[in-house]
Order: sequence, then structure tokens, then C-alpha cells
Amino acid sequence: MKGNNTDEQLMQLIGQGNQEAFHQLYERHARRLQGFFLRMLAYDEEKAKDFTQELFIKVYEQSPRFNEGKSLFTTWLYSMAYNLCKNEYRHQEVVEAYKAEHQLRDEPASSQGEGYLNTELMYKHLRRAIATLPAEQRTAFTLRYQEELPVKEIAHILQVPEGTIKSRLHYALLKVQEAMKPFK
Amino acid sequence: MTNDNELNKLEESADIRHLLKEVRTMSNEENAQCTPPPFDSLMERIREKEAPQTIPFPPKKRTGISPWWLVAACLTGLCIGIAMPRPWEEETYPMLSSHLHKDTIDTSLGESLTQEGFPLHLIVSM
Repeated sequence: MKGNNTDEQLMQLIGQGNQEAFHQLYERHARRLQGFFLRMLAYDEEKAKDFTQELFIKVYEQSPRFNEGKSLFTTWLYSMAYNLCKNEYRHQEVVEAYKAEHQLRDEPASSQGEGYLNTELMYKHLRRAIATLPAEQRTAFTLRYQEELPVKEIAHILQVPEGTIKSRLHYALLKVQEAMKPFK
Repeated sequence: MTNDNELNKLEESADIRHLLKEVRTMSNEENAQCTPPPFDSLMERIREKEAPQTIPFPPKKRTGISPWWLVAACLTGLCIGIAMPRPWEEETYPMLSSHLHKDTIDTSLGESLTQEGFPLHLIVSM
């Protein structure tokens, strides 16, 4: 099978029962989606793995019905991934757990020495700044700036108008910027 | 509601551009460290999920005791009960049993029962 098939073409083949096409699609997206789950589920690696499997099982099961709504594959995929996370949020307060587990020491960046920037510490602060955003802003932020999806697709995934997404992104950016001031 | 220009302006500021660059680098590093479950284990889970739909339901287990055995046991019990002698009927209520053996019950039955202190009023009230 050719390796340059589009995701939509692969989905058509999977719908016809082509396992090789499914393998190809999995190799193409699994790592990225696991990263998304990792960020959305408070950096719980085991849960992120389970969710990745769960998502691709759904992809396989629902492949014959793909594109009934005429959406892009990534939109469809992230919609399912987001719904899995939403269900998880209903059951567990994962964000609160993250905040409790990752409480950073109140150590200002300046105490690290002049001109010294600890990348790991900065990433830790950055993760914390994103994690402490309100859920709606955090989701929009993750999809836009970490998954690099266009606003139009995000609006489709979250089922809200584009203007609302832009507003959430605006406030999220300001909050993250404020939280990261010590690292300027 | 924030308009497009405000967001664009913010995204284009040097500070935010630098911040977003760091965010992307961090996310790429996180993605690179991810090790998704092997494809074979995914397919195994899919087959497991599909299996109950294709395999027919296992036959029902037979219960240990057949209902016919229960019927036979009840009948045996009944036969034994009928065949057993009932000496207490003759000894305790001789008058009552002598009357019951007759085809008809005469009026003197009530009197004799009352004499023995039988709670006849309770039966009447029912």
C-alpha cells in the first residue's frame, strides 16, 4: 500500500476492512494523540496510553460511518478524543489532582542566578500555568497552540462559535503570559 | 467578546510569539517521549471486543435437581402421610371423629364441642 494516502483515503480503506490501512493511520497519529491525552489528563501516562487505545478502537469501529458529516479526519479524531476527556472530567477531578501533585516550590526564577534559565523549571511553570487555566480556556489553548489546529476546526470540535474560541484564546494567552513573567 | 484584531495583535507581540514558541517546543518534546501501545495489542483488544458478538452464547448449565424429582418426592410424601395411622384423632376428639366418619353431621355435634370448650364462637365469627 502507498504511504502517501491521505487520512480520509485511509479511513475509506479501513471501512472496507483493510487492516494495513489502519496500521498506517495508527502509526501516523498515535504518538500525537497520546501527547494530547497526556496534556489533557494531567500528565497521567498510563491513562494517556489507555485513552489512545480506546480512541483508536473507536476509530476502527466507527470507520464505516466516517464522513457522514463530511468533516476533516483531524476534526473527527479530535472531537472523539475531546469527548473521551470530557467524560473523564465528569468522573474525576483530574485537574485538581494535577495541581495538588505538581505544586511547585515558590522559588522565583531570579534566584537561579543571573542569565541562567533552567528549561525544565520553565516548562514546569508553563505546564502549571496552562493547567490552572479554566477548563474551557485550557482546551482551546491546547488545541490551538499545542495541537496547532485552526480556530475553525476547534470551533467545530468544541461546538461553539469561532468568536467564542478567539475570546477564550485571548484570555488564556493573557493569563499564561502573566504566569510566565518571572521567566522573561 | 474579543474581536479578531485583538487576538491577532496579541499573538503577534514579541513576548507572546516567544511564549508560543516555547509551548510548541515543549509539546513536541512531550510527543517525542510518548510511546503508544503496540499496534498488535490494539488489534488484540479489538478482537476481544468483537469476540462476544461472533461466539454464540454458551449453553445453559442444567440445574442439579430435575423438577420431576421434586414432583415424585411430593407424591411420595403425600402417600406416606395418607397411609400413616392417626391415633390422636380417636383419643383426643372421640366424639368429633365419630361424627366425622358419618356421612352427615347432626345437630348434637355443636353441643358436644361446646362441652369440650372448643372455640366455636371464633369459627362462627369468621
